Amino acid sequence: MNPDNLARLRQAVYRLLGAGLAPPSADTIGHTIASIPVLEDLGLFDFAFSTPLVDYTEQLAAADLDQLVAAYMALFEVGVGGASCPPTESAWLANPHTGNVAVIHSDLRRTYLRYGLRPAGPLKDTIDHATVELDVMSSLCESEAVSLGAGRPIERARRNQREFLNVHLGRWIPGFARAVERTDRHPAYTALARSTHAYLVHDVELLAILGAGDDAGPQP
Amino acid sequence: MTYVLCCSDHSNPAPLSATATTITGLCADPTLLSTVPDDADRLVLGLHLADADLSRFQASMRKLGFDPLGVGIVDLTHFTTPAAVEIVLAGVIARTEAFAGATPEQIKLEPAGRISRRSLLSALALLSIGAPAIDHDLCVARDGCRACVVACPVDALSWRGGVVEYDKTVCVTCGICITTCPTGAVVNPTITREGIEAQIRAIIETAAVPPGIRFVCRTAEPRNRPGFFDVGVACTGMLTPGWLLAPLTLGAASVDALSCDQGGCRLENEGQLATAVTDARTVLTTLGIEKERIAGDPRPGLLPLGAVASPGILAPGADTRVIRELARLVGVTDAKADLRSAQLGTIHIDPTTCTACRMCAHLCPTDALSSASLLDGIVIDFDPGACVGCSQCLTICPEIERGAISLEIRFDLQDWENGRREVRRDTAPRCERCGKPIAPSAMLDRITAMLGPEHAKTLELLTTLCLDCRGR
Repeated sequence: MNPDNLARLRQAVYRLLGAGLAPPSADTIGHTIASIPVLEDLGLFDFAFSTPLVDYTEQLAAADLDQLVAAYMALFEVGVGGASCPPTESAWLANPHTGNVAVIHSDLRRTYLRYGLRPAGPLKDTIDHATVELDVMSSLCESEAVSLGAGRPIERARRNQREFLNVHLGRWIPGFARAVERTDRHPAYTALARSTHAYLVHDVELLAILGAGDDAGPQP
Repeated sequence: MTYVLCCSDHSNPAPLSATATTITGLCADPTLLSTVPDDADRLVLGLHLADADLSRFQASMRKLGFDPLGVGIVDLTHFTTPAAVEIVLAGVIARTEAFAGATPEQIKLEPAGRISRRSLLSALALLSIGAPAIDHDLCVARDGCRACVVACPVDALSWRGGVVEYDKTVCVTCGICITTCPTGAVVNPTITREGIEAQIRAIIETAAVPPGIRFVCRTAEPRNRPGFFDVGVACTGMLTPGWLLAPLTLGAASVDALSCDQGGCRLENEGQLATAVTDARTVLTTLGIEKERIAGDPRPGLLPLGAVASPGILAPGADTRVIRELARLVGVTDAKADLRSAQLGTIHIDPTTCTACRMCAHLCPTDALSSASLLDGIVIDFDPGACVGCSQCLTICPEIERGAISLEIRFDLQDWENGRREVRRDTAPRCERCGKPIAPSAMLDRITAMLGPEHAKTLELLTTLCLDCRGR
């Protein structure tokens, strides 16, 4: 696999998983299902995360949109005492007694600024939402791909990716994904949770291999 | 259905059985895996590994919906007869069918060893291999067990706050943690006890004459040894004396082990294998069995000792179980010997220095040491048949420097037969206020000796009132 394709593949997978954790729509579902052949050309099947990802798209193809919307609401938006599996970093990492939700938010705001990113779209105000954070990783992978295409160094992009995974996504997505899987509300969301978990575990290791010799970045 | 697909490009013998399909050009073209029928739920491949790009094969397997870690691969290069291929295939099929799936944490990336010319043009060719993961339901690190952490040769495991943490990027997948874990909590999906036992049983059942079993490191250069059939392990350093002896209880005539190269183990684990071989041979000699059956030159026509029917010979506690079964097969009831590395042992407690704090019994991962509170004190029991020699009781004993507890790595058939016995008993004075036991007398005596007469008031409080009543 050439590095350019790898960066593009990682960019696309992060975007695809992020889209899955946003409120579902017919357009998003269609694009997600149609993306597999494109990802295959980028080398998707060279990696173990392809199996749960393909399973997710198959579950999505078989899903009824209304049921999917209902499951999304119950899992991620409403419920007695809040969503059963809130898809936000602060819900998993902030101590409710010390109220450090704001600490996480301000850290994310600074981090996004440092990366030259500004959240946009319907979830732009929920800056610790899984969709936003996965999109941030996607953008960082895109920077790597652009740098590779232009023959520029990629160390900074890789360092930022490692940092964001270690300090943010990697710390809460595994617990969140396990909770969604345990709830087993809808096969598509159970498959999405498995897929997201498998992909993050894989990407942390892949970045460690790719970055052997680089500055490993901050550890969680 | 398990589908067997073999490459027929070379002049090596092909399998005879109807279950195996042969195809031309498979080694060079993994896309030919598309000929695998849809109803196949397991896959075994016969390849000439020198010509095969495994990273491309793994991609093709995934496209078809197979987990590459669960696909059995036989290197056909070194076989001389179709019958030999048949025996090896039977073993790999059995192991493949025992594969129970892998979690994302159990998949490790490593650079592909052999890559095609196509891959040489690109920057990255990675293979997925099996890696250990810890089943936290079975793990007793919360009680203080650190057996795997101590055994890991590369510090990939660490103990923090009652949880064993695992660093996959440091791990060399040598498998030592798998055989060291007293509770079977460390699991590598490609090196499971069930899979290895199934493979050995299938080889023995398929062979016309009692075969030899050779444990082979996963990176060993294949070298054919007539009469022996290979069973892959992560590293021969993971083999305990019990694992080396186990095939003899399943009907093998002899056992051998092949490290990664002739210059010695790349992970420097050859010392572990040498000690395990010495121990295994000591066991055989003690039981009156030819020691040449282990890593030796057994005489031709050596008959098997018999076979244990029930599965689970390699489950945690394998060393004790295997020696017991061997003794049963040869009709020996009284034998004992000192060993060096076997996972078994006998605990001795010195009542003059032990304070009966019972931390050893609380930590013991296999409950070989257990304790109970009595009306008039406490008692600690020990079952030598359940001890796996993990030394965790020694590491936690607060009086270890005074020799309160010691471990002998030895087997004693009679001792095992006698079963659980009392190794420590102590009285416990009762609280003057509520009547509950305060602490073992030996512990109070030790505190008294340490504090001295200048702390008379403290001592009086400690020896007359229980913990609950002291603060009232």
